[in-house]
Amino acid sequence: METIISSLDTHTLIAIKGRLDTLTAPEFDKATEALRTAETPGDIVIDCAEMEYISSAGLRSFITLLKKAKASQSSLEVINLSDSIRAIFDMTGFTTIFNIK
Amino acid sequence: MKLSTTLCLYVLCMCMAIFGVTSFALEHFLTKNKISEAHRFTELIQEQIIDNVKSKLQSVEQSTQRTQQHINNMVDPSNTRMGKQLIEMMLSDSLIANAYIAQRLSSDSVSQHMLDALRQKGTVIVYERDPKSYSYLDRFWYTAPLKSLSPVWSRPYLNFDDNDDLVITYSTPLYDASKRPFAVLAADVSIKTLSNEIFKLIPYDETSSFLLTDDGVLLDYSSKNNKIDTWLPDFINSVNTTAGRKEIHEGMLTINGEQYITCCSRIASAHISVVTMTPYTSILSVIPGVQKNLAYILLAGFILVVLGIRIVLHFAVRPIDRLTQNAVDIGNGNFDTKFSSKRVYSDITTLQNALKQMAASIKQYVSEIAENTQKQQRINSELEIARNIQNSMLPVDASKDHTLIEKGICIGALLEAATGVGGDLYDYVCKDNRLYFAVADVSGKGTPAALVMASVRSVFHFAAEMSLSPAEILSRINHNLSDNNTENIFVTMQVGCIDLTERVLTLANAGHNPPVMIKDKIATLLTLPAALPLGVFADTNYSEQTMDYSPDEMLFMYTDGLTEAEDNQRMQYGDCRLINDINQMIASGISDPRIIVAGMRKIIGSFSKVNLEDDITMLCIGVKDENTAVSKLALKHKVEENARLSEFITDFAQRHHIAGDTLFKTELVAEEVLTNITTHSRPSRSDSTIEVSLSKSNNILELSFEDTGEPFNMLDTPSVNVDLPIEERPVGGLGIHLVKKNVDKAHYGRLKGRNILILQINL
Repeated sequence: METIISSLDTHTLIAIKGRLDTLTAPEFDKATEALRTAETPGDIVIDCAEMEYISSAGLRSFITLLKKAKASQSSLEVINLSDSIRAIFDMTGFTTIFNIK
Repeated sequence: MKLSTTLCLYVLCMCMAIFGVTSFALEHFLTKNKISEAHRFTELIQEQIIDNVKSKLQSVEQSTQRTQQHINNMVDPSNTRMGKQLIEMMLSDSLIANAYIAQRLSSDSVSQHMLDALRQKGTVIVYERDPKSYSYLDRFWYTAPLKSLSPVWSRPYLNFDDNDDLVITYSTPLYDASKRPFAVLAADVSIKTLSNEIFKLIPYDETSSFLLTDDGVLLDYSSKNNKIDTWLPDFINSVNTTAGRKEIHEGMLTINGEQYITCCSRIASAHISVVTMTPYTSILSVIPGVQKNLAYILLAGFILVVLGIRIVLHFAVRPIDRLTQNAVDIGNGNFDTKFSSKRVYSDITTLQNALKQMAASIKQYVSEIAENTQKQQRINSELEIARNIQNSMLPVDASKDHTLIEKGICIGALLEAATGVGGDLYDYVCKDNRLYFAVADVSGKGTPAALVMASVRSVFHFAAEMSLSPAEILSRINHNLSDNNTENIFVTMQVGCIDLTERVLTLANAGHNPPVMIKDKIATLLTLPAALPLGVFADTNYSEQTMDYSPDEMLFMYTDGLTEAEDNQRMQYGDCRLINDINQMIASGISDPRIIVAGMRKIIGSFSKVNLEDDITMLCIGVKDENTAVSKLALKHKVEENARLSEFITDFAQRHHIAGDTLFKTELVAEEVLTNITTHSRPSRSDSTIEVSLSKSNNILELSFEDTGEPFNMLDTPSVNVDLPIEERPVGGLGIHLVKKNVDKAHYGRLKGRNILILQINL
């Protein structure tokens, strides 16, 4: 799993490559720690184009990030979901709480 | 509370009661006595008063009569006139002779001479009164004696001439020579003088005395009662001085709520009555003095008695105290407690002897128990070893056996011995693509049965290795058992064999319970030819039955400990319930032999609720379709094993052409299950493993997890509400939700301390 964070003018882009599971979620949490602890993280976009797999541990990381964004009135967008992962998002009701494009 | 204290209290109470009653009786007696004494005393005083007054009056009468005689004797019969000087002298003498006479008068009716004799400053003077200053001719004291010609006592009257004194007068006629009364000799007695005499004599200090006329006029009184003014008029009215004919009469009188003893005596000659009145309280007040002393004496005696009793009791119950200490010692395990050698009461000695004997018996008993316990402990530890050995004779769990798993064989088995070791047996051996299995029940329980069971097991293994048929195996064991079967132990047994190549099932039975066949999702009892149990006759022939065996079929075998388990009303579980319950499990989609055995164990546990009375054995065998691919993996109890699990699944998927969504789902489910097991269920041993198997048949992908952790059924956890807004959503709890959402069938069972989770995804 690889997490690439790039700060753009309008938002921060987080690109995930590979599997976001029980074992890799802590890495992702660590990579996004600066964003979660920042006073104003700014708008965030998570690019899942190259994310192959996600389990509940990954979803957990997403929720933590979303809670932070909501609290600081920023937006969090999830883009480029594959069908399988989108199915997981549906099952867990994430499609209703995340801004998915 | 101590016995001595209690006894002391009892005695104290009794003493108090006696003291109270005695005091009460004494007071009653004393009061009664005192009152009657007071009456007597009052009467006595009253008599004295009367005697005193009477004697005074008599002395007045006597001295008057004496003077009268003197005068009469000296009067010259020829001269009616008396020698004045002589009379003066006589009067004076008389006054000197009788101190009670206040005044003495003599008079002449014709000349109206009157001589007065009276005391002035201690000396007697006699003078002639001027008749004009004092007219006495109509006075009672003058008229009455002349009229009656005899001495007369007047009623009390006011003597206006002399200090307005109240007086009574004794008057007697004087006669001349011709025996004609010519004058009256009178003696005045002052009421004051009389009352002074009377009031000196009182029975009690508080006694009030009254002097009254016959018709109730108060002449004088003496009283210390300061409220006398308020009740005196009433009192005077109520006192009937003439009541009764007796000279003295007594009575009780209540004035203003206070009781008085009254005594009234009448002095008839002087027309006066003396009344004394003594308050009741002053009579009784004399008593307490006596009473108090007596009470103090009694109280002191009482205290002494109590102290005495306390001391006596203390010594009296000492043997009991000593015995109590002995008993406490014995209770604390000191059986060599020292008994007192003093000889006391016979019953205490008997008790002491009994206690001694008891201590000795207990001591012996305890040492016997200790010895037995030691023996028992040794036996128990031996039994524990035996149990371990017996358990080790049971085959390795099928879920850990690669050979079995890869052949698609799934076995659920359970043996629970009612005592440490048991006579039940289940076994399976896979030899040359043939699965031999057996269930047996040795008659009796415990160690003898266990020994026989071990022998049966080794013969079964030996015979199976020799690829004998089930009937031959039974015959072999029967021979073995029948030789020298002096104890007449017999064994019921069922032996089966599934030929995995030919897909044929052969069963042979030796007096054992019929097995349950689960075919086409229906469980039925499989009736086999009847045959004698093993070990009865050496030459018994055993037949076998052969039938086709198709996948999805399951064979459930058991010992009678299952069907004969009893509930609280001693009702047996029975075949019917067994078939019903298995059918219900099948209907709910359960198709794994392990889950069926686990389910049956749970059912029988809740049915009988009490401890099992017999050994229970269950063996359920299922063989998957020959086209089924099965892989097995043993994982450590660590979340990090997810990596190996993922690899195992990807590898399996690659080999068996699983990809896309199914693979994604399988991976997801496997990861979530493993994560939950490692997080929520602590393993029984640190080195225990999580057995995972993955199988793919034509249309089903099955994941199975077996772990030794604490009971944990993740299928039971409450579902997550995925419709909550982000603010209210908990961060975790999604894993199990994802598992439930992504599988088509999920079953959990707890068997032999293991959690078994079966998950199926339809292809």
